[in-house]
Amino acid sequence: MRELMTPSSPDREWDRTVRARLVAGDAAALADCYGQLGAYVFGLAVRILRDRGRAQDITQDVFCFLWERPDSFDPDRSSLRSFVGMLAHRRSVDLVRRLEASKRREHAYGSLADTIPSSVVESVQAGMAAERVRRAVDQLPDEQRLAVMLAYFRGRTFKEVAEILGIPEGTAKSRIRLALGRLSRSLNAAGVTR
Amino acid sequence: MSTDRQQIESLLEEYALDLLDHDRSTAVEEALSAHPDLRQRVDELRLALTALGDHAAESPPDQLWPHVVERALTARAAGRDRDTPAPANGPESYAETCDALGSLLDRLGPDQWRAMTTYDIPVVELVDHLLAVEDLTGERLGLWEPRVDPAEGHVSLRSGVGYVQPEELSRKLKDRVRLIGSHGLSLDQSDLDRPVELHGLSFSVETLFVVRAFEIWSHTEDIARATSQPLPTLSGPTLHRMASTATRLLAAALDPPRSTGRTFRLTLTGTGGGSWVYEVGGAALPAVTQTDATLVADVVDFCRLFADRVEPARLTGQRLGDTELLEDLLVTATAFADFGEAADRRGDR
Repeated sequence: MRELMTPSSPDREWDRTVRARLVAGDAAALADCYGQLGAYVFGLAVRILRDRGRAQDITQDVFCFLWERPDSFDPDRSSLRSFVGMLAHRRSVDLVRRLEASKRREHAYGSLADTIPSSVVESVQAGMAAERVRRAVDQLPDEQRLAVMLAYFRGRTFKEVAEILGIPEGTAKSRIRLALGRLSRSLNAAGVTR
Repeated sequence: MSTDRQQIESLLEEYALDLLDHDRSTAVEEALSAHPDLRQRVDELRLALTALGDHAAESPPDQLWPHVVERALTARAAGRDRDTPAPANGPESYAETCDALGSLLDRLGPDQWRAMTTYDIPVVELVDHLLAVEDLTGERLGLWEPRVDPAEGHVSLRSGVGYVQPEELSRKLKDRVRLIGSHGLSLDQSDLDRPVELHGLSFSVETLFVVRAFEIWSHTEDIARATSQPLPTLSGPTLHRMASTATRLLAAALDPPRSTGRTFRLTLTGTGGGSWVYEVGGAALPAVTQTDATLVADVVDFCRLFADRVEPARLTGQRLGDTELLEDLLVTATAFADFGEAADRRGDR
């Protein structure tokens, strides 16, 4: 009989089993998911929202959705980590946009232009996770890392990234694509396939 | 918006980054369903983004988890398979398993009634046995008077009909179970809660119906295997009722001295599954209790274990925690079927 696998195991059985347990109404499975992925979800929401209170709300939303709709996670398509990451990111970015819609755009851009580059770089260096993941991000050229961080953690469109960095939109798009491509290849090479 | 493939491809990064407006996002989602290769690219992009997210990991405050639990379990109660509506009651479970048995018997050819089951008795004798037990069940429910075999001096657990054609045997059995089933379906909850005794064990009437459903279902599978017929497929509500009853009986029966006060969680996956948390001795516990042992298995396989059709060592799934308690749990589960069969062989009432 097998022991319970952790999500860091290359075996995707943990994702499949925990999904089946969630579907079966096993509350301990929800606790296991939260224990394994709560920091990831909360931290991602904090980085995007820059507000721990709202980040807690997003974290609740994500895990409650997972409990209510475990069937929406398809372990054949992605890892549970990717899935909850997508849920957290989408909700956080949507909330940022709703909040910023009430602010003056110049003020928003100004504050972002003043604070994002250093804070984003610091966020890259702080709270490092797995060594292979850290290397994959660290090995990104600075301009690519900055561009993709603005898009991912600040929900900036390619046009907005270009304006913040003072580069053409096509260049911003190219840097982000290159960054994602490099990350994907690095993770594949490191054996992180799902 | 155009769904030109090239145009969609140009939007994949923005889609993965959640940067698209609603209309363009919807257009991409529709296109992904038609282009699996593009969907795979999106999945790979999202995987790459998890690398960025991992850098941001931060432990949430301790007080967040209780709020998550409360909100989650309010929205959806723990303990039942999400896709299974309310579980069937005992008589409904009984009726469904009897229907499955009846359908199977109707398909059997003359030679198949002589096929040998795993008990080294032919199908016809197994059906004869079921008829006798249902006779006893009906008597226990007050539907008819007990039959006493003068030669044996006690209620015979052979049907007493003598040798009859299998078709006639099948008809008699279907008549019995139809009467019993109809009676059960007419009962209200207070009637279902009343105690009744079978094979020296006291149950509620509702539990008796579930116990009968178990035996009828397991013998239906025995007959299907002996005659190379498809195994019956039970509905989620019936499986959930059977599994829930089995777990409750198991928790109450499980009481080895070394496990007193210990707790276990049984999570059964698949349609009709659920999750139950008990203390050894029978007390049900809250869904979020951290238990000493956990068993995760398929719901149908567990029901087969309870019917002693699967050996504990062959039950696939996961075991966590107290291995001795899990071993006791699995061995005790198989003992329920043994008790009933042994009682039948002794001719016990």
